[in-house]
Amino acid sequence: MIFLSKQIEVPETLDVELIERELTALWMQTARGLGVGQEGAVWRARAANVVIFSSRARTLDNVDSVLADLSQLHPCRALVVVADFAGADQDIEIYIASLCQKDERGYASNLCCEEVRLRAAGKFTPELPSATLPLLVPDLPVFLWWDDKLGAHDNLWTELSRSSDRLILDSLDFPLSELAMVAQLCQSNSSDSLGVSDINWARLTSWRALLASFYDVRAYRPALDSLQSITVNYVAPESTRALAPQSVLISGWLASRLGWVPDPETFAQDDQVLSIKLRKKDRSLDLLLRGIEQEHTLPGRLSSVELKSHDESAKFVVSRSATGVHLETEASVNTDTYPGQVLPVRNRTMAQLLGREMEILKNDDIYGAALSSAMKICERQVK
Amino acid sequence: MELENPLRAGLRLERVAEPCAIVIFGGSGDLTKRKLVPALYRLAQLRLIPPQFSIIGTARQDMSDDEFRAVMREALGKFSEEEIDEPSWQNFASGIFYIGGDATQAATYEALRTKVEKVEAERHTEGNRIFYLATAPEFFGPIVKQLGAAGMAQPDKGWSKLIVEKPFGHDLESARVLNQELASVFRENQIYRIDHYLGKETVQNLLVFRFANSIFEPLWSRQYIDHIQITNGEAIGVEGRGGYYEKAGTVRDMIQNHVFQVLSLVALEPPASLKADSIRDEKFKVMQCVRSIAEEEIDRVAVRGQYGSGYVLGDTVPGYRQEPGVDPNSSTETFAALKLQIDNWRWADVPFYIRSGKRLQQRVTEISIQFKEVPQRLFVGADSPMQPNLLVIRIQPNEGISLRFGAKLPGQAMRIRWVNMDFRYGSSFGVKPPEAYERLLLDCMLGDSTLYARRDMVERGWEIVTPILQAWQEPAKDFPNYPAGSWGPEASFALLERDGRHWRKL
Repeated sequence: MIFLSKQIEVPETLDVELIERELTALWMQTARGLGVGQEGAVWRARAANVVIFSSRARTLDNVDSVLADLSQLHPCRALVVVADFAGADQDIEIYIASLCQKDERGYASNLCCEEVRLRAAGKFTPELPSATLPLLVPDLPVFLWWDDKLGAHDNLWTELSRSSDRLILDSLDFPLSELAMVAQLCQSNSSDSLGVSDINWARLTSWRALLASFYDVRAYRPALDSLQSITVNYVAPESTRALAPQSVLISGWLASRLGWVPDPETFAQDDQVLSIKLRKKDRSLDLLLRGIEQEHTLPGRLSSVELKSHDESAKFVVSRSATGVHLETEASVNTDTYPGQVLPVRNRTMAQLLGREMEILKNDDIYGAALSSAMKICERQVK
Repeated sequence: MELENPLRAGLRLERVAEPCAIVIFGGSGDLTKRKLVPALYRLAQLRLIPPQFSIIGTARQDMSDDEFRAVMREALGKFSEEEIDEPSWQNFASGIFYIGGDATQAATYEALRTKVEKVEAERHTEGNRIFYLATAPEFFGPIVKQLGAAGMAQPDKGWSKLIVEKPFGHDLESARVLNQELASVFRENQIYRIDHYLGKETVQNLLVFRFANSIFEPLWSRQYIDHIQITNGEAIGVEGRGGYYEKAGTVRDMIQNHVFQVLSLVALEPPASLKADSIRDEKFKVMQCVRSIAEEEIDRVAVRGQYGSGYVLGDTVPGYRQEPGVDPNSSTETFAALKLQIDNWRWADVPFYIRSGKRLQQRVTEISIQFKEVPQRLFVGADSPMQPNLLVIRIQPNEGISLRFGAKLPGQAMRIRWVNMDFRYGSSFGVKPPEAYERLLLDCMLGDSTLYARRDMVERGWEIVTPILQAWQEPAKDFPNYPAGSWGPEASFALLERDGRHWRKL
């Protein structure tokens, strides 16, 4: 990766033209400084705007490497907005950078990303959206990656989200109250509402696919139709040491897709175990979410999901291996054991996860329904 | 399946196959080791085939299941581009089985049926079977006949499909015989004739490129296109397959199948839908419009060549006639160039030049669409010769699309520079396109035959080349007529120069 950057002196009132000129100059400098093939031109491709907001300085530590990788998947203009609310007053500083992949010959022929970083502190932080939004490239989708607490910084949130098409967040260690806010966002059905992408939901894709694969087998169907219990084991997130959002999301997904409705009257919680009954017509099913310790499983991640049918005559399990590097499936119906799978865990990078989310512009209704159901499962706890 | 399974809705994964078993005839052969098992293993890694999926290899020699698994593990280590995850392999290998036997003997099929039924019962593959003919073509007919006689082609439970590898016949007559043999046991919708070119991402992208973009389709006709070139070049020689190649030659080996499939996708009319038969109907229709070549025209529209010794990619290489298994006086063509005309409203008077050959300067397969020149030359003093716009669709290597257009060079003078706007799969999406066999095997499991060749298309391909093959039965007096490492014989260049055109420099 080739990275060129410079700080721009900005007048009190933002001059958008100045920034565009500086970016153009930076591209020319990039082209001159690098072997770029015979044409003497570099490619400056933009297929999206990505606005990254954070009030945490640590976000900046890895943002460049994430953007460099992301730009291979989605050439974009990235606007990194850093608000240091607690810091001493500091007017907006702007840095610009070009991020450029070298091709196999070592030339910088795939110039895919340009970054504008805006940083302010103290009383100047409310000015950040007014300097950010004019820098969006028109007619391109705007992805807002909110790498911060939801529900804080109302003014900045309102301004930045209003101009965005899609919100990207990561609920890996969200407390339930924050997850409830995401559910509210998903439920808003106005035509100009913000679409929501949850990276944590993307991490569950393999689990969902493996659970879904049980339903592909005709021989399993009768047993799956007489499910009597679902047990989800998880490792608690480091920050909250509470219920892992992954566990409620996967439970909410199973409930919503299979037509089970949580009965809040049956909610019970005991230390690391949450239990509730799900109902469908005159049937009921026990859902158990259990926090466990597992050496090689990262915090906030699922350890296993187990579906059992009546009398335990059938059992379907997806679990993380003891080493943490494989996902394993297991199915038994009556006394027959069916072939299982052992598949490597796909440890996708943040850029890969973001890239996949940026492929979708429409709302993910399945996620919305799963989240809504998840919030009903832990309704008592949120209250 | 997707509609029936409530948990599949909204999953951002590619389509997943139903439980099934694949029986590979030629199980110990090169194709199985190099392509089939690596592709099936990768499909499993991508969670695209279910845990019940099973492989039953069959070939002449005796081997136990474990011995066969060991052979496949070794092959995977050699031919898979990715590192093998041992626990995943062990899991995958538990679904691999083997049975030895003579594919022409009825007793083999009794044993095979028993084995298949045992695997089906143990691994719950629901009676779904694919028979893959990865054998020499002379066994296609006998195997199919025996499968029919053993009652394995039309099972009581589940579905049954047949995948046939090329060559689909040696000429029109033998292709019809083979198709008849297949049809006597399997219905056409059970037969999947594999042409791995159709599994390549760029070939599939032709449909997207043409019919998902409104800016190109209006230009895609005689009104704006001057001519089209399809080049299929290989730097390799016959690679030890001299015996096979002697009977085949370039027209049979490449043009009649791969190149015609590509040609049909470039030239077809918009299909009514993306259903397999909608697309295959259009492909067949456009190939029906390819003008028949009269005997007296062959020398004017077709060029054959054979490589002599020369230098390829820094190596000294022998001529074709010096290759093992090749007749020292061979007249088999290792290069062919054709000029075809498609007689319909869209393509009238737009020549399609195609060339394919071995031991050419480099490996490249591409379609180049040359547009007409601008009607008036405004930039006469522009210090750079005018060039027509060129759209190049690169199939291999570096799959992608490039569009050449003129741009003004910055400065006071009016100078035009011809620049390429490039799109490359590898760098634009940052993902490796799936191997052709991965895509095609999964399609077959899912019952999607879009990317497989249909009977009528295969026979039409043979019809088009039949006059050429007949004329080229006459020994070639000037062979070898191009040195290895060149772009073919001089006559190939003359083929275009007569029309005031040139092959694109590659």
